[in-house]
Amino acid sequence: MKVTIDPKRCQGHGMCNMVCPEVFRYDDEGFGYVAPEYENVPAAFQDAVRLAEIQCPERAIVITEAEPGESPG
Amino acid sequence: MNERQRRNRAVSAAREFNPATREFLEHEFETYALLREELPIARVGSRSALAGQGGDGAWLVTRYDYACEMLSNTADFSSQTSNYPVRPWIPQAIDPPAHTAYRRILNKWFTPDAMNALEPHLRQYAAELLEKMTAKDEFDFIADFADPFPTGIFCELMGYPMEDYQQLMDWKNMLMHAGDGHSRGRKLAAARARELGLAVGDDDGMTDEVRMQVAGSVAFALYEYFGKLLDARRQQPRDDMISRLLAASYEGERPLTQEELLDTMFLFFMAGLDTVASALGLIVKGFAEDPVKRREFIELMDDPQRMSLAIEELVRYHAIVLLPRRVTRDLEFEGACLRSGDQVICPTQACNRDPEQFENPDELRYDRVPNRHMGFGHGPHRCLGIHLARRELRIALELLHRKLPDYRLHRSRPPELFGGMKGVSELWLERA
Repeated sequence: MKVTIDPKRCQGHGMCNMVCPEVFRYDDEGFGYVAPEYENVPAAFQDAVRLAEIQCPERAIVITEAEPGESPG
Repeated sequence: MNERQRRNRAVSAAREFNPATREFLEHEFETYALLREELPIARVGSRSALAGQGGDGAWLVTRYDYACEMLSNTADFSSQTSNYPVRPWIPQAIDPPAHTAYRRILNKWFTPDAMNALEPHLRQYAAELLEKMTAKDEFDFIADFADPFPTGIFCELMGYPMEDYQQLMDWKNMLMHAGDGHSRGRKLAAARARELGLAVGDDDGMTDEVRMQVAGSVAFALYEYFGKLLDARRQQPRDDMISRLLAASYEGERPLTQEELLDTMFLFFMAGLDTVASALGLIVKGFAEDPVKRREFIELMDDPQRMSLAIEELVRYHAIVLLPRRVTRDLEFEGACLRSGDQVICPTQACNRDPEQFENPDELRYDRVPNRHMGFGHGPHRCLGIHLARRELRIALELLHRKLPDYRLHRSRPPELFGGMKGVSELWLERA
């Protein structure tokens, strides 16, 4: 699973950071970004990342699930 | 009621739409549901008074998805609406790209990190106020806590002297609550109008025009007050927002002009004095009326994850703002022909109860997921103070219920609601 934040959509509501602070950080203006080390989301955070995607009011979180056969991220 | 009658009733509800009246508030969610089903973009009639939002030529938008689309499209739906006592407020009534430049200055003072630093102070101040309030057997939660808690914090952040608190509150009440059911606001505004030699009824009733003149005179007094504070901080900067604004740079090119400084301070004033107080008033009124929901809330308070979901749900359920926009060109929106200059009004109260977005929207569900509510707005203008507001709500509700888990509405003093920008002006409680 890979995750990114679309900077054109993000308005800095901060919901993703509340749900999964390890993966979703915010810059000095409060806009979200994905911690580089977690762009390939470790299994332990995948549920939280899915929840963040569902909760984002601006629908700014983009998840790409690994193709079947690919090793999980 | 048959289908045709239902539709006719929706047309009438739009024509008479006046969110600032007690009659409307009694049937608020029913009316919004009717409109959403029958006329999700409804033409508001000339008999409607849109409490400071500009009456004629407005459209009322009650669907969540429509409102999201409008609030995200700043080119067609401008935030510069109408009727500012002096100039449009910065950044709320400004469109991109200038809006983006102003927010770039302000955003970094309101990040979650910046608010983390305030947490101990917020807790201490809330505890002090609660100590005093709960020493009594009956008390007005608004006067004793919901007003002074966020407002006191806000005055400190901004750098307003604390001894000016009552004056600031009076100005705010005259400016925002002259005709929306807030009895103190109405009384103060009427007194001001009489000072100005304007026509006021024996019952303190005023025409819209008189209210606008009162608002103008209050705004003038505020600008003068802000001007003096700016001068003082120019002489001697402190660690407060006024000093930061003075040191700020627009796009790294120039300092803010005097007008920009004043217009930003005016917006802070309008946005900072009423919002958390209103939300707290509505939430605690709800808890006083529904002990089961209150107990459920108390049970989850210790779990940070459940608590943050619960706060979002309370903000969804008790939404306070109507979001106005001005249409910038003739365009068709979902079949409606909007004309350049028309206003659209998106009540977050209506959008947050759209069943297509929220399952069983009239039910308060602390674990609601998804919950992409609009209580803090949507799009580039989302609430600047979102992280401060969330934290204040969490701390206030947690500490209140630790101190006083059982309370109810006062047996003989009913709550007083105000509408438009919705809230509670008096909320008398007693120990249960």
